[in-house]
Amino acid sequence: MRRTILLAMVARKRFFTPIDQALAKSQDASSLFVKDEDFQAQVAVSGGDDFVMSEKEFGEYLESELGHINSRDTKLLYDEYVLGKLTLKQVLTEYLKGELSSSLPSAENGSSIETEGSVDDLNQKILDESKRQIQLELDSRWSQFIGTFNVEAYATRPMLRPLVFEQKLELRRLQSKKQAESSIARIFTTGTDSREIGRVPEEFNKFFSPLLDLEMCVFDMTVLMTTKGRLSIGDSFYVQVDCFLTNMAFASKKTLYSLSQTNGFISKGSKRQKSTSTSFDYMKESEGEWLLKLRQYSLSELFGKLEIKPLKMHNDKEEVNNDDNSSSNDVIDCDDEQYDLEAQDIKPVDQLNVNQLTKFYQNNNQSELFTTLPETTTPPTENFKVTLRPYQKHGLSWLLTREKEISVLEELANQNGSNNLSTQSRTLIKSREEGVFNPLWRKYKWPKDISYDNLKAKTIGARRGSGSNYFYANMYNGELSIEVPILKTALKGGIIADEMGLGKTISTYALISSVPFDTNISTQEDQNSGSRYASKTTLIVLPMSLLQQWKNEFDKINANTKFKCQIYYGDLTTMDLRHSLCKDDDCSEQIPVVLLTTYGTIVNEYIRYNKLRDKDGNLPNFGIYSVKFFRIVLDEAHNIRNRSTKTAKSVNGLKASRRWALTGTPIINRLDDLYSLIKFLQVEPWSNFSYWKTFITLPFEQKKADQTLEVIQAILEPILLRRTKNMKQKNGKLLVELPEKEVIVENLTLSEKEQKVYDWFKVRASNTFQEGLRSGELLKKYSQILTQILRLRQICCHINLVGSTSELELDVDTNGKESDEILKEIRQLILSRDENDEFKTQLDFKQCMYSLYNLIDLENSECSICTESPISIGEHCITHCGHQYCLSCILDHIEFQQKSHTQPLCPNCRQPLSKYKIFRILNRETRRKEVNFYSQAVDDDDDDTNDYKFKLYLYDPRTTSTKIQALIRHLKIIRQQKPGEKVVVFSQFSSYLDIIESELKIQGSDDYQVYKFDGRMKMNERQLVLDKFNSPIDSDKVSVLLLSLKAGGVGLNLTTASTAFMMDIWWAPSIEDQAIDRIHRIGQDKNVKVIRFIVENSIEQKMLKIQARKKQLGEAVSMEEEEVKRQRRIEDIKTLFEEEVN
Amino acid sequence: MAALPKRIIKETERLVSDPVPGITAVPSDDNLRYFHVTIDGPDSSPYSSGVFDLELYLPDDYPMCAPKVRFLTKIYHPNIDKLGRICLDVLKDNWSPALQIRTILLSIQALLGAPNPDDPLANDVAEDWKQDEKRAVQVAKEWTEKYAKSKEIATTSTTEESV
Repeated sequence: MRRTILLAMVARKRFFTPIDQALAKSQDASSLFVKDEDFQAQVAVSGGDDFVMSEKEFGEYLESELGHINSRDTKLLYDEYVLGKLTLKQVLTEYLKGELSSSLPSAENGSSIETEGSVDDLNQKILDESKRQIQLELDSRWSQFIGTFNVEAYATRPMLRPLVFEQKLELRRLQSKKQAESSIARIFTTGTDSREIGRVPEEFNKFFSPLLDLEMCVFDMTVLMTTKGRLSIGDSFYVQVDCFLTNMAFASKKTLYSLSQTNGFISKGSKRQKSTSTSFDYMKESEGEWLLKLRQYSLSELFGKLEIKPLKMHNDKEEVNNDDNSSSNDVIDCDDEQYDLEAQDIKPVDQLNVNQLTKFYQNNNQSELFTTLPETTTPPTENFKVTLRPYQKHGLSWLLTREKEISVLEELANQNGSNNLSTQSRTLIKSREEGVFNPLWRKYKWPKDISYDNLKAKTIGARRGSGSNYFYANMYNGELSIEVPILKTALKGGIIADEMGLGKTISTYALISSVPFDTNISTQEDQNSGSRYASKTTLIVLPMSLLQQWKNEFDKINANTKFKCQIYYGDLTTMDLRHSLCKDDDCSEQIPVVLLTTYGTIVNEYIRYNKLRDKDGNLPNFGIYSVKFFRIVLDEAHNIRNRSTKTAKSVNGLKASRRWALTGTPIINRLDDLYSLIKFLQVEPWSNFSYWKTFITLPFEQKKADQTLEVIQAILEPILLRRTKNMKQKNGKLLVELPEKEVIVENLTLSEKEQKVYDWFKVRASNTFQEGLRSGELLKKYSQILTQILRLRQICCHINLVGSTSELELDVDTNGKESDEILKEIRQLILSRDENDEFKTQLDFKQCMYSLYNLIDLENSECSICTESPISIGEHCITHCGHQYCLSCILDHIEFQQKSHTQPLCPNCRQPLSKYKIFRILNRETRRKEVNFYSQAVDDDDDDTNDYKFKLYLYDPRTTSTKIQALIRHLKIIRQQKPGEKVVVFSQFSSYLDIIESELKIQGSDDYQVYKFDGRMKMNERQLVLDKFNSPIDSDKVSVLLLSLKAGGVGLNLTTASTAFMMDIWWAPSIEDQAIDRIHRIGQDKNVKVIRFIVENSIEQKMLKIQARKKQLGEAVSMEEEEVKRQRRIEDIKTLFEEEVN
Repeated sequence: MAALPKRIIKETERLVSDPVPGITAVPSDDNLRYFHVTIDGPDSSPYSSGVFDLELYLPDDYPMCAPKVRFLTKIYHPNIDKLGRICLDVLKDNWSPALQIRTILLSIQALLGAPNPDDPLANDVAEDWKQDEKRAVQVAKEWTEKYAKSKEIATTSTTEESV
């Protein structure tokens, strides 16, 4: 039998004295307990026992050795035995020597005790009590195998005998007077002639010693190899070291600290360790703290050597649940001789490398508590008149739990009768209230006992273990625990990080409506803080741009006429919030339930009052700082992400009993972004920046990203609510159903001119293709063909696009391939005219034009086709017969007539019409360049029309395009029917966007507000354009955003628009879908209409077919090799042309 | 169906706010392009004192093409057939977008006052009209008396017609 005896002999005599005294002299209780502390400390330091008989076994043993024995004596002997003070043999000797019986009251003495009556009863009780405490202490004593390793030790003393295989050695620390040596652990032989023989290498020694001194660990040493002969100094020998953690390692910090002091352990010599240990400078170290650090260092060294890795945090959640079932399977099987050491390696579970940011939000929503919460919670209808979506109700349940308003939750969840708060969630809420798993801790599984003795089955029965399959360690400070480490938090509030469009605003108001006031006000607190408690008011801090939106939303949801929503501008320097918000009950109706303010207001006040801080650094009780709010909500809380900004500081200075932060993006780019939110929410202890820095920022910078993210996740898990639009409800539906999307393909016919040019190019392209097909060099001609296809696509958009050399948006080689000659030819084609319909001579034209000037009355004009009056300036035109119309109306009319093969007549005078004889009436301010897009340039600045506010230009149908006309037709309808509407126009050609822009500007700045967004713009310009487009406008102009498919196809949020026009078609349907998703996405509350202009019988229609096919194939295309893709494209082109040729 | 053009809204509003004497046009509740129309017979015509029901429909292409108008009340007129279809140039080739519902209805009212048997739609009526105009006028009066006197009768006549 093997036993480690530490201090036992020394302590024995002293140890028993108090009980002797208690029994014999019946001292008063207090003195006993003082002693008792001492006694317990002794018990504690005597740890390291690994095998202890049960009392019954002990009794049986004694009886077998000695025959009948007084049970009381047995008990006392057992106590000594158990404490490791005496070996069994010693116990026997002790008994036989009669030492015990003399010092203990014998059975005969018992009668005398009885005579002393009550005093003895008391003594007995005291004795029992102290015994019980000993027992308790004993019950908690154990050691459990943690790992094993082999060490090459070296001899420090010459030895008489060789070390033998399987010989047991002991590792001891001497309480040496010489401080220099105090940090050395020495190896001793066992047995009565125990003597020092050697030491372990320094790398082990440096953590062995502290662990031994702190009694945290027991090391069993077994010689692995019989040494060759006797050892000389410096000779090495091999030992296996089995490590066992003792209950001391799991003692609470406090016990540990007091222990270290009573033990006088801390010696200056040990500070050698300090230089090697990781140093933490952020706090001034006291000796106790230094001790903890030493402990931490030693433990992590030990764990490192033993390769003990924690369980992955999120796995263990499930494991905890299954504990009861799984534990039986995990029971250590000591008899297994064939134990495979390899398999026993504790494999690190945490090997996953997932995208960090997305990982962040995972698991949060699946949290056990959240899923069990009722989905029926609705705010009281007398306060709240909007119906919440199911997931919002679910969220409200969570919000209420966060505010610890469980009774309110129960009441509100019950309103609908069924679906009461489940018992499961009740218990979870309760456990949550007690605290959450401390994220700095890690969970470990006790390894299987493979210590030498255990494997050889040398010990009688198993050691006494911790009784648990798991233990927890905080590797930041070296604390160990068997119990689940709990972090208590008093925080009421949290972060609502739902994705945009899921209704953070409405959730907030639902919460406010459910719990509008603080119902249990502790008046004491108010007085202490010096500021009054506005227990009826929730302060909501917003960016200025959202102020009105929140106000409107409040009016929409609020059903209680007594509830008021005020805006605090802070400009009323005289306005004392203490008076307006903390009135007595009789006029409490005046107090606003919601007070809205902006970050700017708070910053202003902060700047003003910051100078007036009192000597303790507190802000003066002025303005917004004069009261403590019931609740503060920060909207777009990422505004405070930089903790050193005034915004963050000013917000953190606000006082409230409940705090909420709303943000769709809690982290924008750095982890520290989150800190500011934590700070605002006052999540202890993380809101202490040094703490945060130590445990989050620094480890993260040291590339321990995964570990850090786990910690953060654990911090956030209880306080953060995040749902995304992709999440499904219980019924399988998405959280948010998007409004309907309607894609309309509008087929257009090219005008005659366009068709001519188109045909010309088509023949050319077709020739190239056929040629390539014949010669089998289609691939070589690939880019050429693609260019020609591009030309065709451009003609479908606008003739002017052809030949614009700046068109580099496609992956096509266009470098000057089009010779000037070809361009000339095209021009010729474009410029050839229909002689019949046009003015024959310049004179005719001028005569006609000048005669029209005085017919025009801008103010009283009316288009007899659409009855618009006055005709908007961009549209205003006049026929050669002197009748005024909207340009698009009259062109529509002409087109309609031509389609039905009748001569177009003027609607008013029935004279024949020609689109070549229409004059546009434009403001003189209209830029000449823009005019040129539309009309023939007329060099007649010197004419006598300068008296007029307007100027006539002959309309030139050749320069416009079918598609643009169609677009304008649509926009005009929108202008009429939905004034103030926002529209997005997509094209892949940015030069096309330029043309459209010019045309729309001519159409009239009264009707359209045109914005353009393309790849040529700088980043800040882009944002500016989007902001302008998305902000509401007062006028009823139609806002048109011209968007380059490539530059604006992804990421943008344009949900303010509900109509999109796709001017041209792109090869990949997914690109177009993405573009459409800019407006058809979360936040869109209107039905979305997408109009795609496709020119009939053109390349575009064929592309549409290819698109449809691609959609069927799915995204498999994107997975293919570049070359395969190319091949496929050629196939596409083939189909394009084959159909084209037919 | 496409949304209602502003012109139609404008016209409808004006028909209500500034009605043409002797003519009413009320859009249907479920289709704003469909109008219930009544036209009083012109005083100096065989149709005087009669109230004629018509239906008017504005096609999607309106105002590029003419509205579709039809008599619901039975009428004895050479340019209106027994299905109520009207032979009027402005409803056909001579349509112009500058014309409106009110002008069209006025034209129809004028047509009642001036039947044109030379450009007939109801050939038998036109024949009667040409051969014995007096008798034809008499019949027209009788029909007006019979079918166009009151709403109830007009409705019955429609039912009869459809039978």
